Amino acid sequence: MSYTPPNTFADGTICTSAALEGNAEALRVYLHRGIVPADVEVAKWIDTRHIQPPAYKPYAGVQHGVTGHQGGNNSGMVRLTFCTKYLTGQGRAASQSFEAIPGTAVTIDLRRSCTVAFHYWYELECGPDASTAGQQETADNRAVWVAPYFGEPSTAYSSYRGHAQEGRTLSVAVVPGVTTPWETTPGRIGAVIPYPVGGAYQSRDGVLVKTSTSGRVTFGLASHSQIDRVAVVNWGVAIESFYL
Amino acid sequence: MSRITDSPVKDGDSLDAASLNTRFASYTQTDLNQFNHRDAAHDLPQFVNTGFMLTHAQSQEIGLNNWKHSSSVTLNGMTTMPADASPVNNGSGTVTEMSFGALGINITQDEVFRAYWNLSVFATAGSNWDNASSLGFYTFADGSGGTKKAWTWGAVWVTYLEWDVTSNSRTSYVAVPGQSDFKTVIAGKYGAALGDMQASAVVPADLRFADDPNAGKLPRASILTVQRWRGVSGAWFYTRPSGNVTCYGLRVVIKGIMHPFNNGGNNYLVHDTAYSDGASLSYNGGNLAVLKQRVK
Repeated sequence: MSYTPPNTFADGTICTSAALEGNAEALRVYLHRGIVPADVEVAKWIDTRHIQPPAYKPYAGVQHGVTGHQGGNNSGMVRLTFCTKYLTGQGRAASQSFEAIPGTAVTIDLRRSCTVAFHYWYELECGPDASTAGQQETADNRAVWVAPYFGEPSTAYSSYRGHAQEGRTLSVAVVPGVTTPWETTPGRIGAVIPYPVGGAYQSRDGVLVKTSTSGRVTFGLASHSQIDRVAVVNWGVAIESFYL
Repeated sequence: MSRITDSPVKDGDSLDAASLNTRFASYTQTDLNQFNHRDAAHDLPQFVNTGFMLTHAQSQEIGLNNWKHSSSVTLNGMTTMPADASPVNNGSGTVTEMSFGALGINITQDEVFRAYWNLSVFATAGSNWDNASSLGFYTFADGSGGTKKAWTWGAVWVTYLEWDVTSNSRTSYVAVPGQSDFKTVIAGKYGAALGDMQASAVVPADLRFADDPNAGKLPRASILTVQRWRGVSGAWFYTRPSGNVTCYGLRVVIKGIMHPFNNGGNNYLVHDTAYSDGASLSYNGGNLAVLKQRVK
């Protein structure tokens, strides 16, 4: 049904803002959801060449079009990255700092205010770490937390620590006769028990939904680690942004 | 789109009823043409944040936000059937549900409603895994004329979504479409068919492995490893087949312990009440996010 202004003005009567706004609002509603096929000209008047093609942003891995962004990055075949306690408090139980995980961020150029969904996933291989320096969590209880951040990595703690999920270091406490998490027999190397069995190979994912103003913004992953070495074996970060 | 080509109002113009009416009458059926829709397109500033494509987005934390677990919420294994699901709460009795306000959100036929959640969890196995009634318990020959206890490693806690589509009082939560409440009776047990778990995500209830198995024999006792804190995450989407539905609330709930079960050639996930006795699941914080968007 075509648009019909709800208010008609007559000479000699008071013109109210409500009447004007009412007509404008009715028009807005009509344009957004009221247009039906019969309202539109039958003759073809739009071709694919008239539709704004999306632009591909190769570094961020996203495409950008009229309605927003879509796309992201992942670890691909071999693009290992790491978390480490040496950047986040040396394993001290009281520390709460987060640092960016290298490579796992997406920076996009938002042309106007919008809503963004940041999707992320990662696989962690944690430890082993049996270092004995003081003030640390007990060796079997060391963990790594990964949380999303928006803007600065520090927001992973200040704003998004409720999103944090964790992995725990390779544990040997349950295996009879095993006292260290790595092989000590000459000629053998590596972890003494498989990482999944030791609870140290973990897969996690999450979604952060956030509104943002226009400008260059960064979404990424940050970690707080109590473990000296956590390999982020596989990971992926993806963006959906909606201008409309 | 909607660019009107009337001349702008200039100094000296008289603003009367006729000219005002003309302003609103300008957008007529004939204006839905190539100029207004094609040439002007709809990438114009007046459409900022109109909710034209993304009609609703909402995100919130759930559970007890205590990321280093100095305190947490603990849920015991369910033994009395049929059991009600336990809504994720903050440990003080407040369910961390997502409210959509007094009017709710309207999900229409041409929209897709997406939900994502995650939660930090810690499963404690308890000691009834080798109860004779536990669904995953069996024995292996030990190679010396005896047997050793073994376990399928199939026990899980299940997290899934419930919504309330009745009123903003949000007292009538039910499992979301495509998701069972695990109260279907299957050969005397309570559970759900695999096809009815579209909003489910599971957490292993334990991790028990064979120690030094040899040629099909299990000469040594199996070992229960420590699972410790971990994460669980799930996703669900819904497209309305016809008409509209108004959703007033959404929440994550937990049930357990469950175990895979086959009956009549069909696969199910059912309550394992024997193993549940003494087992528990602790949790802390997580997140629940929804997106509702137009798909055509």
